Amino acid sequence: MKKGTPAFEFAKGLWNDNPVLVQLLGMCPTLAVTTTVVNGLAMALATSFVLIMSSLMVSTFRKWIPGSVRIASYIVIIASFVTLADRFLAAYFYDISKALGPFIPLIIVNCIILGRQEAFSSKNTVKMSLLDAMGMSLGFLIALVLLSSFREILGYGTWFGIKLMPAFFKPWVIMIMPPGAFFMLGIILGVSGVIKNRANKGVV
Amino acid sequence: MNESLRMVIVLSLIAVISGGSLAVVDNFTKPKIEVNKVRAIKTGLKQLIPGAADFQKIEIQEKGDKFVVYRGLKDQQLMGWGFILSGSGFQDKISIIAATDPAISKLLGIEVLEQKETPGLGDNIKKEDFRAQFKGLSVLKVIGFVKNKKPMPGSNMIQAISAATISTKKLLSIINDNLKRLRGHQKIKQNRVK
Repeated sequence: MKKGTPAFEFAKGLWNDNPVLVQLLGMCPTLAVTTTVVNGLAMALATSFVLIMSSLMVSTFRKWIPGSVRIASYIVIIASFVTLADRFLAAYFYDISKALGPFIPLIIVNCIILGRQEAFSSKNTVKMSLLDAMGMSLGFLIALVLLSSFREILGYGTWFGIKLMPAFFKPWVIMIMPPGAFFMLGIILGVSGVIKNRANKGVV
Repeated sequence: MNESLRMVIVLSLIAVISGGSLAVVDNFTKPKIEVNKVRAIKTGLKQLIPGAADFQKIEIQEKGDKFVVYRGLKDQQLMGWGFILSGSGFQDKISIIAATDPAISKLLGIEVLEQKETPGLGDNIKKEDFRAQFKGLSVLKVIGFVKNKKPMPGSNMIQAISAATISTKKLLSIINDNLKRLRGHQKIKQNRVK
């Protein structure tokens, strides 16, 4: 795929430039909410909404926003969408909103979102920015679901709340505690790095 | 146009538009969120106070703090009390319902309404098997906790959540401190019999 084509801008977020596995951005929600798959998935979806909407706004108004106040403008735009998502969840999906608690408001400081505005949406067309935002959102979702699946299966013995491990399996409590997030993320980063190196050897 | 003037105008415009749209959203989500909250309280009260069908809300002012208390009634007879209590937890506000018998001597149970404790650790305070420990504990004495083992029967203690002792401690002090203050309150005493 050639750089600059719509397909490239969408697909880069999935693997080659995956926000979590390659760019190592958005580590706070990645480590904190991935105790269960449901939490990880809901977090990824809420973040996707904010990222896609912010990219749409920033790329639409990119020519009017002066360079010296761009970061402040992006933050206000992002914060508005986060608050919107937070209120909507509380009004229509009260249980999910209760389960995710403080992590929805914290999407504001997720570096992936501000990073994409600064690196991409502020310099590219609306169409390309939307594709970029969707690709990055999907990449974030893949990483979060992967990490939270391993943590939930090992830490609780369940997946999406369904019992998966045999009765003699003793849950590894460490996996649902903060250190478990670091262990698991380290392993996933290592494995994805090895796969990437192998794949690149054939090309170069 | 002057660069700095443009900066001021653009940033103000963005702020006004986002502020305006948030005000609109808040305007029509607020009543729905309130309804959700009230429904969560009612559902919690119904589960905690067996038999109660009507709930009468009482507002109490106690040394600058405002409390909301519900009387659970069945055919005009008092079945129990539901105290809406809140205080600081490990990270943020914890808000609970503590239900007691009509005499306010022992707990019927607790329900967590709002909490932002650590996911996977402190947020276990909302888990059924943790909350079940509160049923039947006396509120005339201070409720305590033990770590990593089951408390002795009759010791008026609960087992703390491992790796979340502070969340446990904060939750207990919300119950202990507030019930002690409210139990002797004039308005509660007036409403006790009926």
